[in-house]
Amino acid sequence: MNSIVSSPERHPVSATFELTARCNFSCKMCFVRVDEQRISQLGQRELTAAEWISLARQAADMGTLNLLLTGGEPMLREDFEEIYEAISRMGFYLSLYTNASMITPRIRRLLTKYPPHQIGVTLYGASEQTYNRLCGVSGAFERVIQGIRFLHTLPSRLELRTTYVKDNVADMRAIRQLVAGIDERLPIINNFTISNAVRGGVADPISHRLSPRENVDMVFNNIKLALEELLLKEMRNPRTMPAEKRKLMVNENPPADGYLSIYGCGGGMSFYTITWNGRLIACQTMDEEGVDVLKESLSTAWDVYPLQVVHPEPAKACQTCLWQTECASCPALRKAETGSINGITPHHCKIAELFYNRKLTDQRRQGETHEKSL
Amino acid sequence: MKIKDGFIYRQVAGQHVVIPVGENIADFNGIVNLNETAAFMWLKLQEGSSQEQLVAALQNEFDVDAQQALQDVAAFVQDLRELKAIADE
Repeated sequence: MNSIVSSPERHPVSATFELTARCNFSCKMCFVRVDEQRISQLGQRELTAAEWISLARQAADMGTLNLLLTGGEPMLREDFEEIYEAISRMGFYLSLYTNASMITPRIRRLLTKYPPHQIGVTLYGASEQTYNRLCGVSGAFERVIQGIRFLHTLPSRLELRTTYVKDNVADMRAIRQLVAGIDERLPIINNFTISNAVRGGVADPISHRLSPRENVDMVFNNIKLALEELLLKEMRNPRTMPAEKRKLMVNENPPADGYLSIYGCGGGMSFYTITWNGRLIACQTMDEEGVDVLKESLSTAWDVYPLQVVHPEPAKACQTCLWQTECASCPALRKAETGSINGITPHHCKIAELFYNRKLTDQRRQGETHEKSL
Repeated sequence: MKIKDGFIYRQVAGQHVVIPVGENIADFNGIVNLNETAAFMWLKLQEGSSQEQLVAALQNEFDVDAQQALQDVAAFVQDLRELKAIADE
């Protein structure tokens, strides 16, 4: 029987609850959305409100501090208010992700009484046409803007979250202006690591994502914030984690000296996600089965989680890659793209190469400008 | 004095923290870190306590003289008032 021989300290400090993977939108690039038909095909069911509330209590007892409620669209659940109100009183540093299109008067009253500490709203375009084209909805854009304006009145830290693909990249400037018009201090987080849908998701993001060059141009030309985040980002790889005396070893499997962590990040070490169908996985973007949290308990699931992780051979090409400092890939992204956590991802490698060369060019230009001015 | 409703004490990774919930977030949207003595006083105040009782309890539990205890309790209570975490009974 599998057992953990040794392990660095693991503390389940941060959790994500994927209350549902259903959504009232059908965004083409969604990595998680399932519909009723797919849920049926998968032979799985969503958790009940009672189960989510029990899991939240168990998470609190286990020492989880940060909790993100997300989906799909969490407000799509008819029992959203019941789940939200119970959890909001348990003392988590609470975050809520939503597309802001379903904020009913009752939900307004609830969020006014119990605001989350943080709110993330996805903003996919600057017009009804874009929302129609990309998300398959009509009349939603106006509701989204009203929703954002309402959420902005709460004491919560609000941020907008965008993902640029073929159908909305032309809206980028308009989106920035729109957000600045509401409040110029509102941050816009831009996600550009797009790959296949995971865990049975029904969308086809890869068909709609920008090419590597389009992606890089988009970032450099228009998103100052994303660029600042990129410059500060470190490559997610076990080798760059700080050295610890105790390594993670399961059943003394290779390598002989164990791993610094499970995936080279906080996944399964300091954060975890509970999926819509009750499995504990490392993070929401990871395409893995994970561990059942309903069968025994959440803390049992957390304890045994490392046992069911399989570590294939690391990719040799990554060890000697020139563009490591610009690589935004991680095991979850590689798994979604290739089926293996150590697979090579030409699309994302190309993005890293282009960022690297572009920054080199910019540095050289700055160097020349500086010399000229001396 | 008593800690107001809606300030939740938690133990996370061996540390003492307090999270405001509900309306309290409007006054303070963050996480309070308590050291050992602050956590001790916080838990007493959850039950309700006067400033004098807190001073006595602190002296009892920790190796601290009366003067120090008085100052520490006064400073702590002032911090809590600034957080709007205290209700006077």
